This record gives sequence, C-alpha cells and structure tokens, in this order.
Amino acid sequence: MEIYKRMADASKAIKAIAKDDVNRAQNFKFRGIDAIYNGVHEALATNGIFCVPKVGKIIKEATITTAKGGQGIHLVLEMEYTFFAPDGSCVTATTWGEGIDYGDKCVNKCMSIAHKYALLQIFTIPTDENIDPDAMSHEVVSQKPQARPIAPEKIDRIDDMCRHFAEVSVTPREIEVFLKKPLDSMSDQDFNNLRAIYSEVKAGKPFSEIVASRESAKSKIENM
Amino acid sequence: MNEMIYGMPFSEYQARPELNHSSLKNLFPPNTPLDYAWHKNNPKPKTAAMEFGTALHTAVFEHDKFAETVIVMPDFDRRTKVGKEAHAEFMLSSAGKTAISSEEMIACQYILKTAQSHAILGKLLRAENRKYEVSGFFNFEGVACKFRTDFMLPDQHIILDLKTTKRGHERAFKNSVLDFSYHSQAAFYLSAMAEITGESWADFIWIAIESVAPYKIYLYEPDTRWLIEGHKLCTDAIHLYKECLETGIYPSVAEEITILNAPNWIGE
Repeated sequence: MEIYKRMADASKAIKAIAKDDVNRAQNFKFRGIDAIYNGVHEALATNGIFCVPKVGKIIKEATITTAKGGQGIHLVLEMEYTFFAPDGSCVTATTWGEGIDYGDKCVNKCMSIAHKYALLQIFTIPTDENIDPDAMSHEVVSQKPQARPIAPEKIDRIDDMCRHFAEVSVTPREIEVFLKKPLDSMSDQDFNNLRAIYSEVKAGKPFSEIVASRESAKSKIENM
Repeated sequence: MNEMIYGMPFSEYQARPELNHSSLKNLFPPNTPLDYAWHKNNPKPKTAAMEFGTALHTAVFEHDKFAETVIVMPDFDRRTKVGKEAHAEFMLSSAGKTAISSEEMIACQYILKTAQSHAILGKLLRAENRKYEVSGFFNFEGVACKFRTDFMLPDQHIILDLKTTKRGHERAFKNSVLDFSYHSQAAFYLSAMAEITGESWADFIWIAIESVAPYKIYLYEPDTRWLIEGHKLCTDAIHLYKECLETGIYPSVAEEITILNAPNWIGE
C-alpha cells in the first residue's frame, strides 16, 4: 500500500499557491485550475502518482433563461478521483462540481471545479496569504482598501454582459483585451459598443474577426 | 465639468486644483498615501533635465513659441560672489522662461530637424487637425481630474506623448515605463478623452527621444497588457485617494518588522 506514503510525500512537496487570478466582474481573487495543476503536477509525477477521474452522477441539471432570453445549463456533477501508486494501491476522493454555461462548456466547468477542490482539500494547499487572525491584529491603518468598491449596478451590467458573451463563447478576458481595459473600468460608451459587437457575433461574425479588424494606433498611422 | 481646452497656458493649467496623474501616481504601490501627501506639500523644484524636456517639447510641438520662451543660460561661476549675483539676476530676468545650456539649445534644434524628417513622426507633425498641448478636465470615478497631453490626433483618436530618455531602446524604455508609470499615464489620458468626448479612446503612442547624442527617436505603442495594468493602477489609486480624503488619514507603511528574504542568487 505505497499510496499513503506517496500521497504524504507529494503533500510535503506541494508549495503554497497564491490567489493570483481575479474575477473582475465580482471583484474577488481566486486560485485558477491552471495554477493548481502547475502547483501539484511535479509533486505527483515525482512520486509516481497518477489520477483517474470518473463522472459519478448528475446531482442537479436545470435549464436556465437569462433576463434577455438566452438559454443556459446549470449542472452539478459528482466526480470521483482515484490516485494510484506504482504498486496499484489507490485512494479515492469524491467531490462535487457546479457550473453554469451558455454554450457547451458546462460539463468541463463542473469537472474543473470538482478536480480543483479535490486537489486543494486532499493536499490542503496553502494560499501563501497570512490569514492567521492573530497575525493581522496590528493597529496601523491598512495601506489599501480591502476591495475596490464597484457600484452594484455596474457589477450587474458587467455580469449581464459577460453572460451574453459567454453564450457566444467569448470570455471576459477576451473582452478586456478587446477594450484594452479591465471590465470594471468600462464606460457607458464601452457598454454600448459591446452591445453592438455582441449583436454582430450573435449573427454569426466571429469575435476574433472583429478584434482583428480593429485598427491599432500603428496601423491607423501607417494608413494616414 | 468635462471639458477640453486647446492652447491653455501651462501656468493656468497648473493653477487648476484638479487631481493630475503626476499626483495620482504617488499613490501607486509601493508608494503610500503618505508619499502623496508629502509630495503635495513639498513640490520638487525643476531639475535641469526637466528644463531640457520642456524646451524640447516646445521645439517639437510649439516651434513658433520656441524663440520667445526658451533661452540659453550663460555659464556662471557660482562659487564666486559675482557669479552668484549674476546667476540670481539672470534667474530673475528670465522668470517664466525655460533656461537651458548652449549645448542643449543645439540639441533641441538638431532633434527638431530629425523629428521633422523622421518617416513617421514627420508625417504626424504635419497631420491635418493635429492638436498640441491639449488640456482636459474630467470626472474620474467621482473625482475631479485634469490632464495635459503634448500631442493628439482627434480624428484618429490617438494620443501621443513625448518622453526624453537617456536610452530609448526597447529594453531600456520598458524599464522607464515601469519606473515612471508611463502606462498608467496613458490609461489615465485615454480614460479622460473617453469621458470628455463620450467616445472610445484606446490608442496611445510614446515618442521616446534620447537626450544624449545622437538623439535617436523611437516610437512605441503600448500593448493591451500595459493599458489594462495602467487602468487598474489608476482605478485602485483613485479609490485610495477618495478613502484618504474621506477619512483625512494618509497612512504610511505598516509599523512592523518584515523578514527580508535574500534573492535566490545570494550564496549560490
């Protein structure tokens, strides 16, 4: 039963993973699935452990409709992850993953979330943050506000827009890159422009084509 | 409140109370609100490099005003009483003008010729509807702000900014962008123009001119990542600024002992 020792060794080798990813629509930091994989892969590989996933059962499946009539799926999956050692010994963890998607990515999202939390909880991966309340008790005024205040109605607008673009498989990051600014810095004009672009994409024009057709300063100047 | 003014005298712009990017960047990490408050109450005197920068801006963008606003400062031996008095008298008589050395005067004239004959910059300097020294006043996240840009092409929605630098090549200029927060300045100006005009502005060009011979000229357009990061810096800082204004507290760094980790290469 090598698996117990190997899992413990892997746990020892896995370092803290910071919350470097940001959900800009709702303004919180998180550890993305890629950061988790980057953080655990070497420790698992070095210790000869591999993991086999299995979709257990569908806990919940529902069709949802947005305020503007878009159709999506809300899904909760039970997943099993079995970790094997070279001698064939294994341990299994069961977790749930929940996701909402307006295209064909709902199962992927559920599996990613379920795997992420399986790994986080099995290896109790620290966040690299000092969250011990005793360590935070100094009285000096904090340098920065804890969270940038964003008006709730703006969050709703951003959320709504992201949901619409998700229907046409455009991610929030792709929108930021198109705008050249973070989502929470969007002006009314940006919202209006995106609304028009969404209609074009919905009508069949690829978002990548719209991005490519937008002139940079360099091309504008070259064409002057 | 949102307005854009062409050709506003710099002294008039400077006297306006709105928050500008130079002040705002004193709130960017690792600065603290204390840095902001300190610099506000203790403005730095103009250095010789800043005077040269001003002279060069005038030479390139307001050439017709160059002769009346930029003068050569004679050599004074300020170790002697006579030299000190002569320098003081000169400073008094040239108040409001930009005083540079004779070498810098030659450099300005040389750079102007180089700029005008530059394949791209020359075209921009001759562009129709180009605007120089544009001042703008706008609302940024509820705070009254101001900005002033050297050069703008309103029809193309492009803002251009001249930067003098010792080394203008790509690697060195990237460091300058980070050191002097040029990327947040670009984001700040673009936000200003979007707010004032109600249109999308997302294009910015840095005109990097080396301040040492042979005064090479580089043109750079910040990529998306620079601008996104610049916007984040500005928005975070403006919220910090509002918090400080509301509380009247301008905190410094935490009063605690921090373990200073040696860089990885130490002791290897």
